[in-house]
Amino acid sequence: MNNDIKNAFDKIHAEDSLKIKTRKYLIKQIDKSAKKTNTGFFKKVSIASALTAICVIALAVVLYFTPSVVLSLEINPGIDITLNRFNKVIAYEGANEDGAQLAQTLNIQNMDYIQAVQEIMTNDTIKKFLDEGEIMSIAVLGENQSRNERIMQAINSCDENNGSIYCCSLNSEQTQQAAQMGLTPGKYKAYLTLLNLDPSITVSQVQNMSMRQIRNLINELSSPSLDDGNSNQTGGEGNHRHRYNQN
Amino acid sequence: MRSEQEAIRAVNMYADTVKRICLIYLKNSTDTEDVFQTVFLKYITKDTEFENEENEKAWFIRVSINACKDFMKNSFRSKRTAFDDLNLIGEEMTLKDTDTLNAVLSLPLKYKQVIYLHYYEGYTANEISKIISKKPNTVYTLITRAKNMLKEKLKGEI
Repeated sequence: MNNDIKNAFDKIHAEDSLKIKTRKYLIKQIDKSAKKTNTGFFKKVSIASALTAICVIALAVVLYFTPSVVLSLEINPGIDITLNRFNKVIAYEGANEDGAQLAQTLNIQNMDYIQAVQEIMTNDTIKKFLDEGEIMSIAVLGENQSRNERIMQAINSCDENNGSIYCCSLNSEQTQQAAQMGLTPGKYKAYLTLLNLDPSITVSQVQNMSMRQIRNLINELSSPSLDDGNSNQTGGEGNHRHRYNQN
Repeated sequence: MRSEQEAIRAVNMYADTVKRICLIYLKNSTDTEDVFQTVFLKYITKDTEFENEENEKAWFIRVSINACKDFMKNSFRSKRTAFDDLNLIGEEMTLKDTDTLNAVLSLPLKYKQVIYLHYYEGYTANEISKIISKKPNTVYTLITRAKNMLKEKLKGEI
C-alpha cells in the first residue's frame, strides 16, 4: 500500500500552464519591487539633497546676517555701519541726529565695507567737512584683533587725502568704557593716546574737541618742543593746559 | 526579494509538491492557482537562507498547508468533489492509481493529510506534528485510523 500511495501521488504534477502563470506572476512582482526600491532610493536621495540644500541656505542666511564688526564713523555726523563676516554691510544707522539724516541719503546695504566708506567719504555733506580740514574718525569695533587691523589697513589705504581718516580699533570692553565716558569710540582711543602724552588731559576737554583738534594736539605733544628745548613729554603741564584753553 | 532565477528554480522544484498539497486540501484548480501565487510569492519575499533542500521542502509543505487552510477559511467551499477538476497531466494513471487516489482523497481532511505526509513525503509522526501543529500522539492515532479506513476502502493491505 505504501508503494501504491507513492505511485499514485507520483503521477500528480503541476500543469505547465500553471507553472508558466506562476513564473510570470513572480517575475512581475520582482520587477515591481525593483522599481519601488529604485524610486524609493532616488526619492530618499532627493529628499536628503533638498534638506541639505535648505540647511546650507539657512546657514548661509544666518551667517550673512550675523553681525561681526561695527565701523563707527564720525566727523560730526556719526554713522555706525554693521558688517557681517564677509565684510558686507548688513545694517547702518546714524549715531547722532546729523548722522541719522545722513544715513537716510545713503544706499550702502550689502556693499563691501571699502565701497561703503568711499561712498560716505564722497558724500556732499561729508566732503564739505573734509574740505574744511576735518578728520573722519573710523573706529573698528570687533573682538578679532587681527581682523580689525586688516580692516584698518584697508580703510587707511583708501585715505587719498592722507590724513583725512583717523582709524583705530576697539574691543567690546573698550567700546563699553568709551560709552561710559560719553565719548565716541574714535575719540576714546584718541583720548587714551592723549592721556599717554599728557596725564592731565580730561574727558570733558576731549569731548568738546573735534577729531582734527585732537589730532593736532597729539601731533604737537608727540613732536619735540623747539620753544623750551624740552620734549613734550617732560614739558610742564601749564603749557599744555594753555594750548587746550586756546582751543 | 529573491531574484528571477531563484523564483524560476523554486517553481520548477516545488510546483508538484504544492500541487499535491492543494489536491489534498482544495476543491478545484482555480483555488490551486491562487495558493500557488501565495506560496511562491512568500518564498521570493522571504530573505532567510535554508540550511539544505530538505529544510526548504519542509518550508514549502508547511506554507502550502497553511495557505490552503487560510484559503478554505476565507472562501466558500465548493460542493464538488475533489476529483471533479482533477487534471492529471504527464504520466498516464492506471486504474490502481486512480482507485488509490480516490480512496485517499475521499478521507476526511485530518486523515488524508497525515496519509500524504507520512506515506508519500516520508515524515515521521513527530515531524508531522510540527507541520500540522498537533501532538505527536494525536498524529500516531490519526495515521493508524487513516490506515484502517484506507484498508477498508481498498480492501487491501497497507
